[in-house]
Amino acid sequence: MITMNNAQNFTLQLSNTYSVPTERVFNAWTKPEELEKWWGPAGFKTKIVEMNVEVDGKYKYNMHSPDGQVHIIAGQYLEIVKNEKLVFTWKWENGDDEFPNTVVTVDFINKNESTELVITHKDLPSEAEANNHSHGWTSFLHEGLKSYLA
Amino acid sequence: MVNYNEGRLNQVFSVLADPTRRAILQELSRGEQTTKKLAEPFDMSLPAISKHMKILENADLVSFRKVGRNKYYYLQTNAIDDAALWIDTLKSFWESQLSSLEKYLLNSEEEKGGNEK
Repeated sequence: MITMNNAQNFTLQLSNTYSVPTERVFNAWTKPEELEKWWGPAGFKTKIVEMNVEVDGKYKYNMHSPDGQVHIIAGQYLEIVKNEKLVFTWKWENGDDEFPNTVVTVDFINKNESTELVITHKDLPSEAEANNHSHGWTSFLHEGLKSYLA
Repeated sequence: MVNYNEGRLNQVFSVLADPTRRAILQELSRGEQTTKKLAEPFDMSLPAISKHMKILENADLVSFRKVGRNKYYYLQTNAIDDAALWIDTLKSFWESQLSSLEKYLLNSEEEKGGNEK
């Protein structure tokens, strides 16, 4: 599901249900030795540069694509509720300061023996965005290109 | 569960991760432009800009028309019509993440089962 709130913001939400207990899914997201084993699309290998799972703690992953490129993703944990919720900032860091900073919320919903995982990826709230990035990539996409197409 | 186009993800990431290329796209959003004009604000050589243009062209983000010896570049609207290109890419990324996690959780569940026997 993709929602455009206005010209500058977007929200992307996806979910999936796993037939394992919530704690296992939460561990897969918060224990480096576990995350390293699954993180990244098929064929990618992820190397954890840092991963400090506490509020304000930073993380940085190098994702090696099958054709040898490295995609770097980094951010900071904003909220951690054990077996329930994980909120962190998200930024692609390929030597690029202009890529917009975004926020990912992962909800772990306990459903008997299964776990529903809901990922919500959105722009930073506009105040924070305005402070950090006057020319976000999304605002370019939505304003610059829309005005071109108009 | 997930259909993931890896080639496209790689291409879009690497094409858009470069600030110069994004600035070129932004410039072109104001109208078509020659390579020479595009090079001016960047303090870059023509061959360097041409290289960027080639990459944008290969990603179907720009096209050009020739007028005499000049190439006029313009944004490819069909690629950009899909204005949520970036968001689409992000969506494929997260879909593939959900799949990877599923594979991991189910595999380690089997291993766990195996150990208990």
